[in-house]
Amino acid sequence: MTVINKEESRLIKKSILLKLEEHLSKRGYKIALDIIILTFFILIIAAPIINIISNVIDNVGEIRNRLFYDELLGNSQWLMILRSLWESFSVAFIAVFIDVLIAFPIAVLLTRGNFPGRKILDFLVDLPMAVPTSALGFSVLLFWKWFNINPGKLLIIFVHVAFTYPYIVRNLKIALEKVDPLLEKAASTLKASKWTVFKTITFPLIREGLIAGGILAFTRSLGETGATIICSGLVETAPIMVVSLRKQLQLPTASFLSLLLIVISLTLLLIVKLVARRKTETKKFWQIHFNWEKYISRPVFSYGLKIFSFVAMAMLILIPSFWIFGEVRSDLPGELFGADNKWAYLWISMVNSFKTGFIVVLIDVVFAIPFAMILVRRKWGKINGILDMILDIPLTIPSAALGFAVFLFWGPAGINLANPGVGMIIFTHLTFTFPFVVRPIAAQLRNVNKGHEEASATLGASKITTFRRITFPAIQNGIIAGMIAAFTRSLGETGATLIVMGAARTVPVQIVDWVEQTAFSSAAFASVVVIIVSAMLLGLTRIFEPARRDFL
Amino acid sequence: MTEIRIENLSFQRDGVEILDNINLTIKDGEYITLVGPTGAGKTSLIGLITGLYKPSSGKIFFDGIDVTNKPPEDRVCGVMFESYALFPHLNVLDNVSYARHMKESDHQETYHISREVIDLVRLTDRDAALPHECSGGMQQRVALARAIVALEKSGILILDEPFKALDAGLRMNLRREVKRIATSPLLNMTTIHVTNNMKEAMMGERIIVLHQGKIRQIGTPDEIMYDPTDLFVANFFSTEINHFSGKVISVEPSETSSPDEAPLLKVVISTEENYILYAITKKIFKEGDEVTFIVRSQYFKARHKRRETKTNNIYGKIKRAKFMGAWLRIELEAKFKPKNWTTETPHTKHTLPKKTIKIEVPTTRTAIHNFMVGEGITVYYPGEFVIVFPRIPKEELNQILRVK
Repeated sequence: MTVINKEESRLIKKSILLKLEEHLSKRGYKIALDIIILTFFILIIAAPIINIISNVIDNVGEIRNRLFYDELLGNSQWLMILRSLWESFSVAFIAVFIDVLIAFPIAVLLTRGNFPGRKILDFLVDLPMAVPTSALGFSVLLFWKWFNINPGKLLIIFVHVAFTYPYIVRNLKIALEKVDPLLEKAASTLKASKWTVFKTITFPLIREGLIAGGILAFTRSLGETGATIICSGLVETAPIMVVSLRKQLQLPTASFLSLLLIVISLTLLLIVKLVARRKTETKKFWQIHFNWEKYISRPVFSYGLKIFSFVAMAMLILIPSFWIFGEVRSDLPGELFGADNKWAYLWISMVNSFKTGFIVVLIDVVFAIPFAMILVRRKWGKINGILDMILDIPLTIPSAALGFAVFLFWGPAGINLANPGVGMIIFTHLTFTFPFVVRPIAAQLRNVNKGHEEASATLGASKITTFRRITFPAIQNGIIAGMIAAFTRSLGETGATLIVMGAARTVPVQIVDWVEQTAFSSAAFASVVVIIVSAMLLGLTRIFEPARRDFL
Repeated sequence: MTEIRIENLSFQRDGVEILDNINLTIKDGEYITLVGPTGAGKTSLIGLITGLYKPSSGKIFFDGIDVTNKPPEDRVCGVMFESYALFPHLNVLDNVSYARHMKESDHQETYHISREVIDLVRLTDRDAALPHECSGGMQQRVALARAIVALEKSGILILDEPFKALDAGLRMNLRREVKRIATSPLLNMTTIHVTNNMKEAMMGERIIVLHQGKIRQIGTPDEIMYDPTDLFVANFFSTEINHFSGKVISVEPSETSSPDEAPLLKVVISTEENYILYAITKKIFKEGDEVTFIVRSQYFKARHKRRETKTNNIYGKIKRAKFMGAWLRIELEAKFKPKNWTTETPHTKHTLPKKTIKIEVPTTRTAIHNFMVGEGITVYYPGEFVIVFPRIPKEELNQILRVK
């Protein structure tokens, strides 16, 4: 009997693995994999949205009757829809406007400044982006209560400023990092004062970053549900209206409003992208420089501006976002472990949230890696561009509308594969987290040195072996970053969950429920827990941050 | 047209002394080169003159007016940066005319001035191109034109390592071109040309040598070449140098002295290796002084005849010979001659240490075959090309020579 020692058995296992990989590298498997991945992609992202169109067309008569010729209400529901759309758009517009005003100096400070605590400030500014919006919304609500500002449009604007601000600052930061400071120095030796340098050199070079951040912030604000429900009072924005229509089981009307939201946000995205891409003509306006530009370039003003925007940021974003830490009261144990056993509910909702998050991230990763490979590596011409565009859709459209589309497609009204509950929550979250996993992986893949892969191939490795040994280690950080981003996003989602959850609850929804039941202490406690979890997740992303790339 | 005067200028960054007590006057309309190895503080000095940095102490005057606290936009400096720093989103014409737009001026006039400068730098028909659509040489012309327009034809033109990123052929052409433009009678500019290349430094009417934050020498190219103030300057302006340490055995007036200059002396030394060498110099030494001779490699002449007894002749065997195109670089292994003026020498004829002498001789078709490895040759150098310093200790010598 031959004795096989450890080393030999390891080698035998290895050679079996290599042979298997060589077999799997054959062309047939590749085509099969492509088909599977693309089917998944279409089913998860494109199909629900197409389905909602057909649903609206099918029910066009009923929708017309409900909206315009209702026996009791006349066309008041149509007017309500218009009203809600107006509220959504005006809030998003004002919030982004305020964001941009206070974002520039802070972004400059974070990229060019060199002061102690810069990294901490950077982290704090990014945090509202990662925190579940309902927790954030509750925190903001409690903060402004001190100033006697009650739920209503003003409060909605405040909370939207808080969670969209990081998107703008982040994109501005990325754009600013790409601007060579030497260009600004060169301009200043060419007789331009500081303000003029910013206007003629820095601003044109970061304009695209600003637009990308602006679009992202705008669409996030437009689609936000969780925080808005908490802060809205009597105001009804479009996503909230989708949720309430769904609750009242007015499905045709809800699908109509969802489609409207989807179409409007996609059109908006398209217009902004076209405008941003158009090559700007040589404009003469920048060539006129006023004397006051020189006047306000004096250090007094730039310090003043920095201090002003810092204070504004602290008042509008930082302090309200973390105000909740001071709101965990002494009546918490009584409420939490009281007769209705809120602790159990919190525990179940936590389990649901984390379960959903983990399953979603796992499925996402399995499909996202091959999909990113297709997106970056295949030379399919226009198809790559189209896939890339479709990938952006879930990021753009309001999650409540998306949730409703998924509900219609997978639910009893559609192909009846899932009933409202945890299963359907998973389907919904898959849709809007998928781009978050694909984007960083694709970004890393673009940076992979193709020479290494070619070298590996010339050394006799099969395609899959090359992927395992060369490509995968290079995109590892991207995968981890994408997973964390998707998990964070899944953990924080409210609007889509509200529509498809049935009897199940996730933490953000639980917070909304408790705020509505005025169980403030429990809500505050749950918020603090999820804020801490999100902060830890954001900290992890910082460690695994891949090569930065603008969103969109 | 501006005179620059710098007084006691020091500059520190992050607690590190970058420039230390600089005193300097650059004359009106002068073309001056600022040279030094990487990290010498050249870029910092330029930054201080343009106002991009603030000095820790000291003052800068332009035409007698204190500009130390003026921001860059209020000074009359046009800078052509090493990487050109062209604005990527503006086309050639907008880049060139940028500075003109900074004040309320007539657009027609701006256009004419920009056109004139564009013609001067020979950059026609590319007005609408973006910088990344231009070749390296063209980008450089745009950068130069932009700096000149900013000056409105008079002021301080600063060229910060302008030829660093270009290949050798282009560099030669552009060097001539830049000198032509900067000293053009149409313009009226004081030019500071920063470089770390010794050949490029010779373009200047005067040269400032900067090392470790201090000015080592300011002088005309021939002063820098033949009368360097210290070993660093001598070494910086040579490809390869040889050094001999020894004791002066006689000093006499040189017959090559011309009456209107400072009298030249012929200093004869006996080196440690027991060679008898002489140098013609302005510096004054007396018998018995310890000195160091510096001889640049390219001043040697080589012949096959064995003539080691004459002064300035050294005999040795070729250890290495490398064909360098126009030059043949030879490493010669010269033996110490047994000393006849002391009896302390512990060496016998066979254990004498060896001295390596590096020389460069012009190549001919046959020179390669003439100077084969292992062959014995005699090298000779004329005494006028020797630089004499008071004795420099071995460690210091090695340390300075390692810089390059």
